[in-house]
Amino acid sequence: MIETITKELIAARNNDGGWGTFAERPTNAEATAFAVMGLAAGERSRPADERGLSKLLSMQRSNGAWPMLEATPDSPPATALALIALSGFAGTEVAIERGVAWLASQRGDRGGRGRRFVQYWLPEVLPVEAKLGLPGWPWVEGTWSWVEPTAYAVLALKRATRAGHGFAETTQRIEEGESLLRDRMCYGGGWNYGNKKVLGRELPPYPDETALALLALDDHSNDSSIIAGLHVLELLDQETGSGLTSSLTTICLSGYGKDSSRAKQRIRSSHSHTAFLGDNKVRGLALLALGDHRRWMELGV
Amino acid sequence: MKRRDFLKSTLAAALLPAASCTRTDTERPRVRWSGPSYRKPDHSRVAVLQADHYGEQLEKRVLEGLTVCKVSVAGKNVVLKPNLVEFDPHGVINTHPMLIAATVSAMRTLGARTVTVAEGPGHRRDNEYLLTASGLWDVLRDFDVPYVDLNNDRLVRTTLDTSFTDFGSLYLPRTVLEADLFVSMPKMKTHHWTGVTLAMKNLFGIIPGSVYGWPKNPLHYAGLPESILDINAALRGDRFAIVDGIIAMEGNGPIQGTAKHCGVLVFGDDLTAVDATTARLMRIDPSRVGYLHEADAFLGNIRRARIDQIGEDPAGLAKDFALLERFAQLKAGAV
Repeated sequence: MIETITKELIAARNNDGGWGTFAERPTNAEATAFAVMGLAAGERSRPADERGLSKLLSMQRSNGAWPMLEATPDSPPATALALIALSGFAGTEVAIERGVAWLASQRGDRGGRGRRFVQYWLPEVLPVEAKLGLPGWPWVEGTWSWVEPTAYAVLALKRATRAGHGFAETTQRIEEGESLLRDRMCYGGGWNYGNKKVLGRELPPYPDETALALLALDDHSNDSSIIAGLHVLELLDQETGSGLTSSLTTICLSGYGKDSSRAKQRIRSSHSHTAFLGDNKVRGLALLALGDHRRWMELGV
Repeated sequence: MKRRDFLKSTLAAALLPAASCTRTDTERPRVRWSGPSYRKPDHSRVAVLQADHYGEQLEKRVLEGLTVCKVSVAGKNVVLKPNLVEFDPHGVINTHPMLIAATVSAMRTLGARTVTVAEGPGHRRDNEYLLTASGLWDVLRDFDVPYVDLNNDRLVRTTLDTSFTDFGSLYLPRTVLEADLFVSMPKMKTHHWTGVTLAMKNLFGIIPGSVYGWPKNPLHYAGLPESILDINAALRGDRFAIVDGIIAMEGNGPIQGTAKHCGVLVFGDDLTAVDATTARLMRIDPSRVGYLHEADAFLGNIRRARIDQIGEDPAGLAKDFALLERFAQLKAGAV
C-alpha cells in the first residue's frame, strides 16, 4: 500500500517540484507539505524529497509567511503546515525562525468591545456560542479564528519551541491557541470547524477536526476534554472511514499511545474504494499515517 | 415583559449582526452596480413542475423542464453545481443524488458535449466522506461523470464590476468560468442568516476554500447578501437553475432545519426569477428578501408581471414554510 500511494504521489507532482491538491492543479503549500512529509515517512530509508522540499522553501515570502497558492495572500494555516513539514528536515532553521515570527504575530478577530460587552452582560443574545477575546488563528487575515488553522498553528509553534526556535511570545500564543481550542469543543466532546452552538442548537463534531485539535492539545492528555475527544474520535472514524479522517485518526491515536490498527485498515479500504479521489494532500497524510510519522507528530503526551 | 427581557430583545435586534460575525439580511445593501453589470432581461421564463418523489420518472421531468425553458445544451460543456455543504444521515441538507443523476442523463440526451459535477463544500473538507456518504459517489461512478472540487480548482482572479462588498476582485474557479452552461442546483431551504438559500446563494459553493477557508468566513464579514450579489454578478456566462424542491427544508436551515415535502422542481435561466418563484412556493415574499430585492434592479426579475410562468401553476403548489422568528417579516402578507 505504501509503495502504491508513493508511486501515485510522485506521478502527480507538478513540473515545479511541488504538488497541487489534485494532479495538474497549481502547487499548493498544504498539499506540498503533506507530500514531502509523507514521502519521507513512508519509507524509512528514504532521504528528503529535495525537489518538493526546495519548492516548499521557495514559496516562503520575504515576511516569513507562506501563501496557500503562489498568487494568493499570506496564509496562517499554510505557514503552520510548512513549518511542521520543515521541522523534520535539517538545514531549514532560518526559514523556520522567520516563519515562526510571522505566525506568532497573526491573530484572528477577537470581537470588538461592543460584542464583548454584550457577551459579558447578555451572553444568550449572541447567536454563536464562543468566548470572545480569545486570539487563535484565522484562515484569512482579519477574520474569525477557527479550529483547523489554530490547531496547525499550535502544533507548529510547539514543534518550533521544542526545537529551540521559540521565543517569549511563542509560549503565550500557544496558550492562547489552546484556550481557543478548549472553548470551541463541542458539547459531548470532539471538534468541528469551530462552532459548537449556533442559535441555541448544538452542532456535531467532525473526526478530522477532532484529530487535529487533539494533536494540538497533546500535552494535556489527562484533561477530561482530551479523554472525551479521543472517545469521540474513535466512534466518528468508524462511521466516516475516509482517507483523510482515518489518516488523521491513526496519527492521533498512535500519538496518544492507543491502538490505531483499525484506523489504519480503514485507510487501506478507503484507498481501494476511492483512491482518495486523487487528493495529493490525503496521499501524503496516508503515507505519514502508515509510515514513521514521529519525526513530525511526536507528541508531548 | 420584564425589563431584562425588553433589554435583551432590543439588544438582540441591534447587535445581532456584529455578534454573529456576519451581517444579516435585515440590512439591505446599497445600490452598487453600474451599466456593465446590468443583465436583467425584459421578461424571464420559469417552469415549475411537480415531482412527488425521487423516482424513475425524474429524468423525464428534468428533460421536460429543460425543454420547456428552451435551454440550449447541444455541444456545450455543462457544469452542474449541486448543494453539498454537509452530510447528516437524518437530514435533507443536500441536492438529492437522484436528481443529479437525472440531470446528467437529461443533459446527455440533449447533446451536451461534456457534463461535470462541481462543488466546493463550505464546512467539511472531507470530500471523500461527503461524496460517499451522500450517495453522490455512486452516481459519479455509475454515470462516469467527472467531479471537480471547486475548493481546489485552478483559479482566476476576477475583477468585480459590482461593489456590494469591498472585495474588488474574487478568486473564482476556472471550471465555472469556462463552462458553456453553468447549472446551479440548490436544495429549496430556509436559511438562518439570509432567510432563504436557493439558486443564487448556492453560488457560495464556487468560492474556493483554498483561498477563503472553511467556512468561507470573508464572505460573512463582507455581508452575506452583498456577497451573494457580487458573486452572481461576477459570472458572465450562460447559466441555468434547477431547484430540488421535492423534499425541501424549513425552519433552522440550511443544516439543522426540518424536512418538508413540497414535491416541485423549478427551472429557469434567470437565477433571480427562479429564486423569486421558489420563494413564492415557500409563501415568502421575494421583495422582502434583501438580496432578491436588490437583484431585481440589475440581475434578474422578481416581479410576477416580468416572469412568464410555465408548467404548473405555482399558486396551487405553494406551501407554508416555517421560518425562524427573526425572518417572520419575509412571509407573504406579513405586516
